Amino acid sequence: MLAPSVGIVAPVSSLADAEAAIAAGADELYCGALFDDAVAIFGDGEVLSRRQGRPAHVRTPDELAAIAALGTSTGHRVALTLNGRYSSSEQPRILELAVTWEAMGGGTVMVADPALIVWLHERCPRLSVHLSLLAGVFNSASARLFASLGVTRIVLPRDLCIDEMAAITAAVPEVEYEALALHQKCRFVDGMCGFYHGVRIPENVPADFAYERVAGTELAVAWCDDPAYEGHGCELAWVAGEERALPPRCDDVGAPHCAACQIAALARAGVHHLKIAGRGFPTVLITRAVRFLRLAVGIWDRAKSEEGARRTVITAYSRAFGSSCDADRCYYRLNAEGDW
Amino acid sequence: MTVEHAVWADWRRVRASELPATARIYLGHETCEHLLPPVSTALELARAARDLGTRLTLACPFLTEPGIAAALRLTEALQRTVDHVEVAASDWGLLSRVRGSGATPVLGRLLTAQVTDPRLLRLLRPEDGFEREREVVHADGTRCVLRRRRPSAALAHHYQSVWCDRPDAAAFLAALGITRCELSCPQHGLALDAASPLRYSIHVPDALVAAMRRCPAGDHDRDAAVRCRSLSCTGDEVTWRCGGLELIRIDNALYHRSSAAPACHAPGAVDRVVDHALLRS
Repeated sequence: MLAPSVGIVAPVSSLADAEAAIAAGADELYCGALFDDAVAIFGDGEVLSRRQGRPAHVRTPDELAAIAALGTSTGHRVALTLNGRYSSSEQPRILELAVTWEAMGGGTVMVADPALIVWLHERCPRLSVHLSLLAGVFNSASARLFASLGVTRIVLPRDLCIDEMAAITAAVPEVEYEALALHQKCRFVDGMCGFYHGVRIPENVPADFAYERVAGTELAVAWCDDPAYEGHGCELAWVAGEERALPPRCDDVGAPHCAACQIAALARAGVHHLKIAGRGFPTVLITRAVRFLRLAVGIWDRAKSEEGARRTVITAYSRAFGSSCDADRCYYRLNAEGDW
Repeated sequence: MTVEHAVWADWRRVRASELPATARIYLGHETCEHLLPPVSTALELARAARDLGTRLTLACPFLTEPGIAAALRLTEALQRTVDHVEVAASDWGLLSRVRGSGATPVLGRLLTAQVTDPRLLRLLRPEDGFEREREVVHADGTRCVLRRRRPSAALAHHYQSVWCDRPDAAAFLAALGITRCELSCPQHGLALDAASPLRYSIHVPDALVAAMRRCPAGDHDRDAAVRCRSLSCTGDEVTWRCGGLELIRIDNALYHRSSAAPACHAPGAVDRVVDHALLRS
């Protein structure tokens, strides 16, 4: 066995998502919540959790309660994502949501706001607190600080290499560690990104918002915060002079960033929870991701050699996503020298 | 209230003899651990500042294990040379260690998590004449008009404020010995609580928008974990453009520079301005 017990954490935005992710083999789930009253005040951007759009969030308290109940009945941890850094305007709503989640039987929250951690331990003591990668734990001293605040799991930043993760987990072994393993590797350091993540309304997909009839136009009217939103900063086609300044983002549908070849290395580095990014992705993409990682974990479990396991996983990637694996899509390097 | 004038001194470009007589200098690097100054260079600048009666702030970015060790060595060396060293760090680990060393920890710009995207002006000041509506045709043939929703006061406050401005957050920071935070003044302005026990430094003229683990280099340095060749990072400015957006890349970070001074509703809370332009040329 080359990969000691490793769990898969899947993003969900609805009860249907949650049921499908569990059926596909997810060990844990995480979700955000964005209800109508919050949208009326804060819009559907990234204010209450660092993910934009209603499709990326559970929309009603009843559905959130149902997801909590599902997690409890099936023995799957569900983490409510409260991973913004909150001004005094939205803080009351966040605190209310945390209290509600605890009352619903939700066992875990994932946060990035350090002062919120302190509040949660005082007011919601039954909740386990996981630290989002947005908090930016790049070294063991940071991990130690958050462990002292009562955090029980740390999601490590996308920007670390595996050796760097190992140094942190070895120095602070009293918390669990989680890392992204599929989808959405960003060029910019997530927790330190000042780009605004709005909702882009493309023309080529059905939209998901309420229309109104308004005098003065025969067309249905939909309201949004920023009709001209071009996309996230990392998605834009920046040029420096005549040249492209950034490589294009990977296509998460056909060729996602992936750490499936690195499962054993991550486990040796103390990372035993693999996170799938993509709250708001269609259910079919989430279940595909879960199945692929579940398959990859099984390959590593049965493998007799690392080289053999890696080759088998690479083949599985091609079958799952329809494209060849490429070094550009590896989520992590082994070390700062750039070795695989 | 008196506003302290501080000057950013890029150690790669500024000689000790060129330091101006000002209240404070900042040295170090806000976004890249490989661009922290060698101890000898930092001490040379620190001695010059001390001789001018200028106070010192060491700026540090997010740090890996070797980086935090280097930052602590730098801090200790500076403390042996000058009094009252401040360390403005965007790293929770370093901040937690600095307090015990006797230096004064300050929350760095990257940890204040400001949203500084210049496009927020479209969101928050729709009366400024930005596009107000556009027609959209969906895949199913449905046509609709997208209109701009006026932002609520709460939404505007979210983008103009910072998390550390909350009373509970200020208390959390105070427990770590932190009573000052470093901020950008983004195009859409700042709104801070005058009653907050925190004090703020504003860095001008550039709002820090994003940081990368490594600078783009060569074929865009596709892998951010590959060790960078820091000798090639000279602090030169590279303009990035996309449509009507323009940002400045300096080393591994992106900044927005605007000629118009943004509104800063922070009566009494801002008591320091850090000028990055004075010694730039």
